[in-house]
Amino acid sequence: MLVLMIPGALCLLLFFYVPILGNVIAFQEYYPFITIPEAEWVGLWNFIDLFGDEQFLIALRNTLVLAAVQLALFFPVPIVLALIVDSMMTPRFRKVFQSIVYLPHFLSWVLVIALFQQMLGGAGFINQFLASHGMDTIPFMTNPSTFPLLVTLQVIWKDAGWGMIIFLAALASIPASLYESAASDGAGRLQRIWHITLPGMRPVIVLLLILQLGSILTVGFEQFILQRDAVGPDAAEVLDTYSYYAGVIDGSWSMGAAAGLAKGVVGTILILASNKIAHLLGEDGIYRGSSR
Amino acid sequence: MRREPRRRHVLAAAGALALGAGASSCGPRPEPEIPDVPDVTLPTYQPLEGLAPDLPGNADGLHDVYLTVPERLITTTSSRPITSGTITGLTQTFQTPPPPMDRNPFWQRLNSALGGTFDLNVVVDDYPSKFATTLASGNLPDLMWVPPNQGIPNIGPMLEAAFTDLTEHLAGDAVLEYPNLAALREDSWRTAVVNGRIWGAPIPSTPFGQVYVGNPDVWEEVDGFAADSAAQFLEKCQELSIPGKRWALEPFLPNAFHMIGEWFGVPNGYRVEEDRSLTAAQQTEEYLEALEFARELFAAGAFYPDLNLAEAPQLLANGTLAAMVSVGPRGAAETRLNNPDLRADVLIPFPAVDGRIPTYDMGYGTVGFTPFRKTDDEARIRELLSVVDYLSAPFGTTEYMQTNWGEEGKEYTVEDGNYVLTDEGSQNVPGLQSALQIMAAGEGVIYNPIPDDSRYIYEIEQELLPLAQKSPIKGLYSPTNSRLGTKIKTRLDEVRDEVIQGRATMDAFTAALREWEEKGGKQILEEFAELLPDDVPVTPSNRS
Repeated sequence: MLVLMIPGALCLLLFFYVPILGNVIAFQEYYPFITIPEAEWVGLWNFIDLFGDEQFLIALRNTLVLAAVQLALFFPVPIVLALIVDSMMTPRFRKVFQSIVYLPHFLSWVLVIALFQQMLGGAGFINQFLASHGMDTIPFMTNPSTFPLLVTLQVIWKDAGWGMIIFLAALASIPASLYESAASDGAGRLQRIWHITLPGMRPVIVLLLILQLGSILTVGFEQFILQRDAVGPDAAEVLDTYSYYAGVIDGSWSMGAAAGLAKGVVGTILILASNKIAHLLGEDGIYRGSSR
Repeated sequence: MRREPRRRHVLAAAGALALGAGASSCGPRPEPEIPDVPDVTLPTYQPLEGLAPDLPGNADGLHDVYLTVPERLITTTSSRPITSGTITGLTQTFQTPPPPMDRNPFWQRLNSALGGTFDLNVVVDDYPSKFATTLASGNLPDLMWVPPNQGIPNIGPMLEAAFTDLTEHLAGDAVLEYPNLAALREDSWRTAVVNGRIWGAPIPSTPFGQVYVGNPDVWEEVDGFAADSAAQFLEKCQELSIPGKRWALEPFLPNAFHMIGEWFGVPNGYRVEEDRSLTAAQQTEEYLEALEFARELFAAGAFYPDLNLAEAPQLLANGTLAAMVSVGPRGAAETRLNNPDLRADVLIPFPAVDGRIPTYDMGYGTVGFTPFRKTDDEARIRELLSVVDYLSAPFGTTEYMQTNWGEEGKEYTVEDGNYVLTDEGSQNVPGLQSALQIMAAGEGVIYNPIPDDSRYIYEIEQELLPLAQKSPIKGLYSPTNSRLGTKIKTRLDEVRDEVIQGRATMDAFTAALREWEEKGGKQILEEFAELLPDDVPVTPSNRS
């Protein structure tokens, strides 16, 4: 068994743990044409510059706002979808519905945004209709203040169906006998959802919520870089695009690495904190200390 | 549950690292040194003999014109350049990527003409990222296209660290050993000089800068693609717009603003003052006037409403867009790709307000240069120079045909005095040809399948030249600009675009400009002013 683990463990070591060492450039003045040991050591200067950079703070703010909006609006959708699918009686209809809602997950962001632009863009279907009937057009895709809603809508359209699958599995594990006995005791539909379905799904919901919190600062890259020009960087710059622009485009790789590292540290703290809260609420969370 | 201690260790290690780093960060942040720049002798210019254009160009940049293909080709090289078997390179294509070498007879024929394998990594999109990551990998190809106009940061230290100094092989008469390189003009060579050393052969492109090209059928409805003033241009844009169906201008704002700036007389990048100090374009009054106007134009709905527009040329050809910015006057003929019957009109810059003299910004003139991976091997350097010499052969040579058209009867045929790609050629040539042209090329000429197009472009070039301004800092490298220039300018340009779209105020732009000045802009201006050669003229007044 242990021998079989070796290739996987090696890959993990080589492609996940070794590259972590590369984060050392966040403390250096590194350029891609010199080697890491040759790079000059600048201590925490990159971080000092980073937090003094207004653009970074804007990116941080945008990331947090987007993460909060996505958490509030996106996270419940797959659960609701799962409940709807679960309540469908005909297996055939259920299969078709399930396929329709999860297929968009396999489209790339370029396609998704192109589709949204075709529908909602300034020269898109809706606005063309409005303009040709003498009405004012609506800047769905270029209004910075509604941008968080737009991107959340895109995420819901693309990924809600995919997120539903895990919840469906959780639903399947709830014994049918519970429903039957509840029904025979006279529990209505909503009561059954509230007292049986949701409690049955709770461990999975909490687990996914914690995982989601850990990666909450990774709101996406392609989705934002593709729409950055349309709404401007003040609305669409997020930590990942900031890293890319500062590092790869502007050539300050060290600043980019520092931004990435800062993000990683915040993500780790969030995971540990939310796991702790899960324990306090009596859930298992993602792991438990050996002391328990 | 055995995992937790490991996580703790990782965190503890990261914490220790951070503390250790903090302890050593007491002093000020180290600043890079500004190197002393020696003067360099540019390669001697010696044009090729035996080329006979139909309409002659001149030293101001006017192109040689070939109305039909030359009857006789000349051969400029005497032996096959590749002697060591394989040469590798990194380059970009602006066409559909070519079929790979083993399935591409055009590529294979080029290999046999070169005498070895020319193994190119052809990047399709986002070259700066590919360039930066290749550099970081430390595994460099023999030849690597450097596009300074795409903003490769830290170019000076990068060249010193990773590439070969070619000065002694190319400066002065040394270049005469390579006839096609000797036929590149001094103006082109300037872009391949960094920190007083020559790092590769320049890749000439048109010396002309961007122009607006317009669909003549659309502009005809409003008395043609011309204007007497900015106000009239705005009126025309409004008049030809049809809500939801037709828009006046392509939405790429940086290019549009560049054109508008010319009408207001904004200098080409920098203005050289009487005392030979420099003022950046964005610091001038004219720039602010242009910005106000661009904002009006945007508010009036002149621009296509979706900023990400990939199919602007198609929309121009079918009349959905009335005008778009093209790389130069030759763009007038490029509309035929989408509509064979359509030759676009070029907008000559006009005075935006009474008493203003518009400018026409000449372009960079090259698309960069191609340096060699660092090596001391004399034979290797000569071999690579011979390869670049071969690839730099201009129109009218057998080498040019080999790299741009292939073999007659296979990739192309001559019909009515024109080169025409065969079906096989159309598949195999354009992707690779574009990739080769971007890494090495001779001085450009105008040649179009339709002679009238060539005549029209030649005329437009003659009309533009009296307004032309060259960038005063062409070929100069300021260390601060190279380190910070892209970053601070990008930020300023982003604020400018926000202002144009009405999402930020003019005051926000002024504030961003102050920030640009303080974060390195002033330093950049001083460094460039110090490097400014005496033969760069004081920028003429733009008031008539």
